[in-house]
Amino acid sequence: MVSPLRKTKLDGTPYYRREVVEAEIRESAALSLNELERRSGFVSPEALVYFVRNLPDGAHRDKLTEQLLDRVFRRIPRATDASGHTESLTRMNIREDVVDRFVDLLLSDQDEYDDRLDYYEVNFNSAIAKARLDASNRHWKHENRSDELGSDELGVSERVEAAIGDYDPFDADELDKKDYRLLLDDAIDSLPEFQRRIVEMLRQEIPIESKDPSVITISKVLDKSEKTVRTHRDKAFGSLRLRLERKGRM
Amino acid sequence: MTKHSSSTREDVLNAFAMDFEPGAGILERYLSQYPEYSLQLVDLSRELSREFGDDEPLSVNDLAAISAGMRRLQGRSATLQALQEAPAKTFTNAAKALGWPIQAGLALRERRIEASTIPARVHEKLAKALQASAAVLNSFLALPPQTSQLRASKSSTKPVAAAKVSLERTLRDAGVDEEILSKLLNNE
Repeated sequence: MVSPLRKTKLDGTPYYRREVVEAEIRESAALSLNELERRSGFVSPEALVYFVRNLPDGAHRDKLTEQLLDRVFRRIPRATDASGHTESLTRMNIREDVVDRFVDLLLSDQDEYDDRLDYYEVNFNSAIAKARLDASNRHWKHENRSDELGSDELGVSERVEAAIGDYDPFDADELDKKDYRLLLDDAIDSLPEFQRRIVEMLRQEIPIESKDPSVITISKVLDKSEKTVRTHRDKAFGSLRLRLERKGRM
Repeated sequence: MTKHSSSTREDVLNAFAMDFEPGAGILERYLSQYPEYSLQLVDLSRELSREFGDDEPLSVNDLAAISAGMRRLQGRSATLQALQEAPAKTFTNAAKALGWPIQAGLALRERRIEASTIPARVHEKLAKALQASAAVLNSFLALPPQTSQLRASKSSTKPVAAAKVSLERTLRDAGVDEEILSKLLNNE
């Protein structure tokens, strides 16, 4: 029997693995350890976490753990360019930090059941995304990065407005292409924090402003006037367009 | 027992991460329910939307970091052989962690303590301090007792054949007084 998770949701009910993961664990558990190790490259990361937590100490578990750490790395943005040169030291630190803390979690769980690891069995990629955020907060804070924010008085010049036009970085046809999504992510990363937040909320279809006070708006979340948000949205879209066009030509 | 993180902020952010689906209004729902974490939720939404490229080989640095992670994980659980080869410091540090005098740590290293005389809770703590499983610690203590040749040659008294004694006797011989002895054995 696959042991249930112990972490509970905000409403007190337990978290569950996805049915497909439960089925995969049941099937894989019927395999010999040699066979499981041989197939480890094809096992879902959620099931890998389960086996690493539950297999007895030994060479087979080690192999699966190595495979799991490999998966962790693949969900953290790279710090090097195509030729292997380090582009960002902070990104490199974030990469190492996420993996280090994941190892801490595995160690803690070996010691005594650590329910924080349950998230990785529910949705591995999302749990890693949360770990990336934590690591990036620690490192960027350390670097004391700050973004300049213009005042409400700042207007958008006609030149910028003309450049934006009806440009939409989240055009559905473009978003269908994986290469575009990768380039877009890179471009969003290069934006100042304030603009990045605006762009993310627009992507999640949150309106800039609303007459209905009960509606969540970007202006309310960021505690800035509609005008400021629009100004920075236009600046952000301008930068994204420029970057994407430049990359597109490369 | 299960470890629980008490932080509500962590619970909310993790719950959001588990619920997240792009464009499904999840961010909006969480922003309205937890306005106190709004900026963190937006930043997390950004991370959750991030795209990753197809599998490319990991870099040399990444592979080295994986090896280092594996060493940390493997080093956690000492084998019987590792305990036999471990330096005295490993045992004196473990003794220190349990509040024992250094002599008791050396007696431990030389397997001069009878395993059956170690109370269960103390045994558990000792195994943890040595980063070994309870079974490995038992197998280790079951090995024949040893007297350090080095220390025997420096002793002014005639060396006697090593024998296993109780934990209580070991601690008493090391000069632990009654009150502390009782605390140590009762794991207080």
